Amino acid sequence: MNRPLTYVLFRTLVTMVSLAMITLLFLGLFGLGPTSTFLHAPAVELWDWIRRTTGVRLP
Amino acid sequence: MSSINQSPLSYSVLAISVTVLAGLFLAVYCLARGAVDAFFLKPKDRGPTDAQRPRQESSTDSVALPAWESYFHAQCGTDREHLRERVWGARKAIGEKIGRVVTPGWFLLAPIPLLAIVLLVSSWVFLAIFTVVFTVVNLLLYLVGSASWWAVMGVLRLLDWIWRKSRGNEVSCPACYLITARPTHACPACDEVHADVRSGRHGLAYRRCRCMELFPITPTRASWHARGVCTRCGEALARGATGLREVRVALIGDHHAGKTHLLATALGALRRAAGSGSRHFSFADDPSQERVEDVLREIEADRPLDATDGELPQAVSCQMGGILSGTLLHAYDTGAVRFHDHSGHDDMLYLGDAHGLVFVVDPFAVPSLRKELMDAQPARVLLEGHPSHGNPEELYGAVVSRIKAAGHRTKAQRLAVVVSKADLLGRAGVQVPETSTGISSWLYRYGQHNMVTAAEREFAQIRYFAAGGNGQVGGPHDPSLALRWLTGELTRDLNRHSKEVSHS
Repeated sequence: MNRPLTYVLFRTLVTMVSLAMITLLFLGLFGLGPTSTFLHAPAVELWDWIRRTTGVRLP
Repeated sequence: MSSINQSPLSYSVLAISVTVLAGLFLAVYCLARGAVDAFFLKPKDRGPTDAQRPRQESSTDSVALPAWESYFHAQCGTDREHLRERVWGARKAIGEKIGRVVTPGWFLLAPIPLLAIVLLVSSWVFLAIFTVVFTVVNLLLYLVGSASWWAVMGVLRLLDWIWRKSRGNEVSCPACYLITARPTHACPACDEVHADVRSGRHGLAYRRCRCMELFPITPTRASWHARGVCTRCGEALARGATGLREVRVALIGDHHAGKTHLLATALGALRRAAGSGSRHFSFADDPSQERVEDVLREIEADRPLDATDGELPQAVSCQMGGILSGTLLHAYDTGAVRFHDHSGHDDMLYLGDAHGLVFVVDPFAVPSLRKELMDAQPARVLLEGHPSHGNPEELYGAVVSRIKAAGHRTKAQRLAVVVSKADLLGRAGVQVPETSTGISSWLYRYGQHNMVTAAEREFAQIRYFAAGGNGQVGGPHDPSLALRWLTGELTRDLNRHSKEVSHS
């Protein structure tokens, strides 16, 4: 079915922006990118707590 | 290796961590599949709204339009819902498959169902986060897009309204005489009628028709690019009708007074003048051009014109001037038989709705002048060759009474009194004065004082002209003067001319 080009453009825009935001979130977890300032430190603390509690160590 | 010394709890944590990671990949897969399905492979388009051809002028705001809505207004929300359904539908399908495989081994392999639960829960959490991200982005686009849209739409509507208001904001149908502010327009490709072409949810400056044709909108722009259609009778409107200032003129006169001759020669003169570099002139539609050219051919061949029939006339429409300051002139040439048929006046709505009337006076029908001319042989020949009937001022009185009886105000109209056949009168040795006041006095002197006196009282403005032959613009007996005055083009020139004459 034919549809206006604007529909395709805006759908692509929503997808690209959403994927970019999700990527930023994950990069932030690992200390990269602008979201790292508020995502990386809590993630590290959580991992430390798990390691202390369970004694697990990464190979 | 340090990992060899780890406790069973550590292995469990590692296994759960790996499962959570798998849940992340599962969520990413569900998101990717759902988004590709929802947005690109199987999108759920709302499609163009249904069309309903409006029957009443007042219904233009409420009818649906055969056009695609903008993405922000409805499709944005539909996409949000559709994405959610697709993404969670994909995850549900995978979850059910995992459930079918894992459940039988629950009692034998306890860790595996546990990890399956961890996988499903972690994928649910990640997918919820992803969905929130998509929803937030979609909502932001909706909020920013629709707010910008309404702002631009408001500006465009205001600009268009100002443009139309400054030009009268009236569009009349040349066939049924309906006057409206916003006519309907037909799609240039499929001819589907769009009831309202203002900026709105179906487009700001352009609209995508049901047939996928993209055409310019706002009433002013659409009138130049799409065929205007009368909301009542479906007749085509003149090109640019909404964007130009409209002036409606009705010609009044008795049998053989020269109404058709005057109109055709006036428009012919204006067209010739435009061809030689004067102000733009063009006929607004083919029927108007054909009618005028037919009459002009008869005049050039010196053949007598057939009397205009008694049917209700269709306007002869033409554009005088350019797009910015031009005028759309609708001239209604009525057969004299209709003025004498008292039952027919109620149909002649254009008489009362006209901005100006052109009252064509045949000098050979003025009783005192006719009597004076009968004594001279050349004039007698002219009288026999160009018969006219009835005293002009009697017809004037009858028509004005009818307009008033229909509830219209002549006080809001202009009246141009045109003494026709001035060239023939000159051949008979009688010269019609050139100025408005001179012609007024001349008619008064020849017994038309009732008309002259009443017209001054009954109309907003009145001016007298003389016309005859195939006159040129600016030449003696210029036939276009009356039309140019009624359209407002000549007011300044004529006032200056009158002052010069009065000073001299």
